[in-house]
Amino acid sequence: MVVVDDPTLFAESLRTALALAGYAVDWVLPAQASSAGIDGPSVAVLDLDLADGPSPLTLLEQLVGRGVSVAVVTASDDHTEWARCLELGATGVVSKSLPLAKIVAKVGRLAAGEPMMTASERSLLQREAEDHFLRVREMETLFGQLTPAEAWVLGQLMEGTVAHEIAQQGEQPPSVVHAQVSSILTKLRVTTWLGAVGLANDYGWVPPDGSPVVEVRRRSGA
Amino acid sequence: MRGTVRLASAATRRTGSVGILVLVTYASILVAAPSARAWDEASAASIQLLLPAALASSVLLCIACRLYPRAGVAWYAAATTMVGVQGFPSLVAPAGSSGLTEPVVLWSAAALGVAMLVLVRFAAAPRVQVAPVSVGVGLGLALVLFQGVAELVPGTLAVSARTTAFGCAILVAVSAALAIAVWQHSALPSESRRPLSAAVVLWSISISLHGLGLTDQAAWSAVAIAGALVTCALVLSTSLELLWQAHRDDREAVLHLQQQMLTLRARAREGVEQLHEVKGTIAGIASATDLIRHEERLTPKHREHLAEMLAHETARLQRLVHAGPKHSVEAVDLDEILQPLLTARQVQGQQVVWDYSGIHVIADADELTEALNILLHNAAEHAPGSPVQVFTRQRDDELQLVVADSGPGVPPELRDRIFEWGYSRPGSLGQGVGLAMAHQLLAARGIALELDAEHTVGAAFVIRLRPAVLQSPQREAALLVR
Repeated sequence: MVVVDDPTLFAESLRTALALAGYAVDWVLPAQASSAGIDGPSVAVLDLDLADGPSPLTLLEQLVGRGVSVAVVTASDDHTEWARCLELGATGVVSKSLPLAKIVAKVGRLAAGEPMMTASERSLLQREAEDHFLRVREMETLFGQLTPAEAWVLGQLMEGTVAHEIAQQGEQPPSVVHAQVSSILTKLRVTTWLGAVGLANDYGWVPPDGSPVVEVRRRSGA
Repeated sequence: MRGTVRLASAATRRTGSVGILVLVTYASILVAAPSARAWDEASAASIQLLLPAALASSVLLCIACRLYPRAGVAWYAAATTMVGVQGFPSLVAPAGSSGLTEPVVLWSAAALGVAMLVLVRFAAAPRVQVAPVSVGVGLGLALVLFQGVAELVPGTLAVSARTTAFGCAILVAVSAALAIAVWQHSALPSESRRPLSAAVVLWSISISLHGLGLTDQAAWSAVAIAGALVTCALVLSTSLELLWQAHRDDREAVLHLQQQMLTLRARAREGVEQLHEVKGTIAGIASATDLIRHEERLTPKHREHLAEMLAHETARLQRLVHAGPKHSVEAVDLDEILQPLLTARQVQGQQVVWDYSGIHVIADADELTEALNILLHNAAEHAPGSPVQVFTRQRDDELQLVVADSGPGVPPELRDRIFEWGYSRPGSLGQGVGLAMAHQLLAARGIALELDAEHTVGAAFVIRLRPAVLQSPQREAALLVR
C-alpha cells in the first residue's frame, strides 16, 4: 500500500496508523508517484489536497490506469469533486474530518477488496454531481450564445464600465452598445444589466481579453 | 487640470444653453401676449418667469436628491419649491390682473428672503434632514397666506403703500444677507454658491425697481428684465449642474460598489482557500493527537517525532488563522526570528549560541522560522548534548546563515542524499522528513539550504540569504524597537 501525499502531519499520521494496523505502507511524494512503480493490484491512498506538483486528478487517472485501487482522502466538502474522483475511477472518497481510526478502517476495506462506499452514498454523490453539471451545461449554453462583441461588452459591464464609455473604448456608436446590451439580456434571460453581471459572477464566467472591434480592425489592417 | 477645464467648459455650455432657453421663453411670452410689451408689464412678466423656473429647478433638484444625497441640495430644493409655490397665485391670476399690489409683492419678497435665510441656516446643521417637497410646499403656502392677509386685511395695503421705499430697503438688506449666507454658509459646492448668491442679488434688484415703479422707464425696465432673466438662467443652470453632479456621484458610487464587490469576491476566494488549508491542517493535528493519545504501540521516539510535527503544525495553523493564507517575502529581522526559537530550545535543554546581529534578510518569516526550527531539531537529534552555533557570514553578495553542531557529522558518502524525502541516516529514528521539508520550503522561495562541506567537526547547514537593504527611517525604527 502507498500513501501519495505531501509531507504533512496528516500523511505522517495516516502512514503511521496504517503501519500500526499491519499494512506495509510506503510514502510516495506526488512528484514521484507518476514514475514510481505502483502497479495493480496494489492499493494507494491519494490526498486530493496536494499543495504543489502534479494535479491530484491526473495522478488519480494514472494510478487507476495502472490497475491500482485508489482511495482518495480530502478535506474538501465539495461533493462535485468527490463525484469527479469516482468518475475517474477512485474506489472511494474519504473525508479527512473523520476520526483516523475510521479512515484506516475504510482504507482497510479497500485493501480487503470490499467496497469503500455504499451504493446509496455513491448514487447520492452522482446525483449531486449531475445537478451541478446540468447547471454548468445550462450556463455554458447561455454564455455560449454571446457573440465575441457581446462577450466583450458584458466583460466591460462586469468591470463597472458604463455604456457610453464602452462605446468609446470599442470605437462604436452608443446605439450599437445599447443593442448589444439588449441582446445580452435576451440571451442570458435576465431583465437588467445588473442581473447579467450577477449571473456571470455567480457562474464564474471570465470575459475575453481585448476589444473585438479593435481586433477585427487590426486583422483587416494587416 | 485638463479634466477640470473640461468640466468647467461643460458647465459654461450648460449655463449658456439655459440662458438661451430662458430668453426664448421670455420672447415667446412677449409675442403671445401683446399687453406684456409695455415696459412695466414686460418687467413684471420677466419677474414672474422666475416662478416656473423655480418649480422646474425644484423638479431637477428633487431628482438629484433621489439619485445621490448631497449636502445642501435638499434644502435648495425646498427653497425653490417654496419660491414656486408662493408665486403660484400670481401665475394663475386672470389675464390683465396684476395679481398682487406692488407693496405686497415687495413685502412678500422680503418675507420670502427671510424664509430662505432660515432655510440656509438650517441647511448648515448637518444632522437636520429635510423632505424638500413638504418643507417647500409648507413654507410656500404660509407665504401665500401672508400675501392674502396683506392684500385683504383693511389698512395693511395703505400702510404698506406709504412705506414702499422702506420695503425696498428691507428687501435689498435681506437679499444681501441671504446672498452672503448662501456664499459663506451654504453646504452646496462653491461653484453653485457663487451663481446662487448673484441670483439672489439680481432678483432683489429687479423686484425693487418694479416695486418702486421705476420700470415705467425703458432703461430701468431693461435692467429689471435683464436681472430677472439672468436670475432665472442662474437658478436653472445651477439646478441642472447639481443634477448632473448627482448623476456623476451616483455613477461613481456604482463604480465604487463594483470595486468593493470585486475586492470582496477576491477575499471570499482567499477565505475559501484558507479555510480549505485550515481544514487540512486540523485533520492532521486531530489524527496525530489521536495517535499520540490512544496508540500505545508507538515508540517513544516516534511519539516525540509526532509531537514535534504537531507543535510545528499547530504553530503554522495559528499563523495561518491570524495572518491569512498568503506568504510574503519581505525584509525580516533575523534576531526576531531566532530569539523565540532559542528560548524554546533552551527550555528543552539544548544549548544554542547566537549573537545579536541586527541583520535583516529577504525571506518569508514563517517559512524561515520553520526551516530553522527543523535544523535545530535535527542538531538536537543527531548531536545530543552538543552546543549549536548559529551565526552569519558574508560571502560575496549573499549572507549565509549557518547552523552548526559539533556532533558526529554527516558521513561523506551520505551527504548527497541528506535532503531526500524519506531518507534518514543509518541508526536514525527520524522519518527523513524534516530536512527535506526545510529544503523544499526554502527552495520554493529561491533560497538554498546546503550542507557545509568545509565544516570539519560535526554538521553545519548553510542557508544562503539575500541581505535586506533598509531605508534609513526603517533602520532607525528597527533600532528604536530594540
